[in-house]
Amino acid sequence: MDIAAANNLSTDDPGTTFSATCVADIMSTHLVTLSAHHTFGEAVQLMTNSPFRHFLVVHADGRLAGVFSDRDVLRALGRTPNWQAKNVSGVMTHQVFTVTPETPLSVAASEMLSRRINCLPVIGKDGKVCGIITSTDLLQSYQKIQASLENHLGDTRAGSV
Amino acid sequence: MNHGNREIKADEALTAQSEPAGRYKWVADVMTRKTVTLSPHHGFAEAVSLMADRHFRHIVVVDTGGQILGVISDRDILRTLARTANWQTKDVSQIMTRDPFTVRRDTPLSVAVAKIVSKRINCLPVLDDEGKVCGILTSTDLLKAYQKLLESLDSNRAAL
Repeated sequence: MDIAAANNLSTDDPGTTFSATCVADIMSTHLVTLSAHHTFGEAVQLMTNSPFRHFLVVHADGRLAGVFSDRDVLRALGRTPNWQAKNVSGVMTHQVFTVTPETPLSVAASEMLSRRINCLPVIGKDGKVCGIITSTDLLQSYQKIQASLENHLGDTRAGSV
Repeated sequence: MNHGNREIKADEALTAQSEPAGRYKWVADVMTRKTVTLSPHHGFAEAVSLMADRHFRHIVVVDTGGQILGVISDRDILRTLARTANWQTKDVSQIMTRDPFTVRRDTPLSVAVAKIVSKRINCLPVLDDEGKVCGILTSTDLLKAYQKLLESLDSNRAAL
């Protein structure tokens, strides 16, 4: 009954919980992007001065070129002797798994987990980048539904135990 | 696991699976019980190589009595490499985050998630009643719990 309770939260408790179901419900559309020709030093500077850990690298026409993450930086520093000479395209992840606004959140979450990544670029019908969904976006969504679930579980256990 | 001549406890993630996702309520329901620990006198380079070789991103720093002293994240390592000229000479105690936020086994999950999101951190060491580290709750553990919950909700919706 707990899952049913979660499904019915929005009807049982009007105004308390909106249970997000697809990427468009929680993705960020405000994007900080990089170009492939930025130097590695510039990108690291941007990252250390920013709350974000992932930057989408975008072509001039709006199509995705890759993703530059803090993990890529760590890897490059550890394994590349001449990392100072690299530019973003030499360090970024080129083969990026992407989702669409309609992708179910359960799929987005499982892809992040199985691929051990924390962000998925969101690509619109026109083939251009339209957003990004990160593990933080998912956790914020989880926090809301989990808080409601705990209230329901609390009621259930208080009544039955 | 033996790393050099000093003991480093390292293990694969072992996550509690006793409850269905809709029943997860406490930190203990989803936390990783095996943690990777170092003592404060380990060298910075050891923390780097530990993390570069494996998939975890957090190391808990404890004293000989198991009391928590700090946490080292991949983020701390990145920052140190970028800003510290003589990082080779640093030890763990000099780069760790001291007095990190922690939770208890019986902290509600929603409270732990809110802490991780609002403090912009990815892990919370979990303490037992004696204040010793008994596990670690990472953003990955939480994402797994949410993913299971979402799948349950999807299949429930499909059945309606």
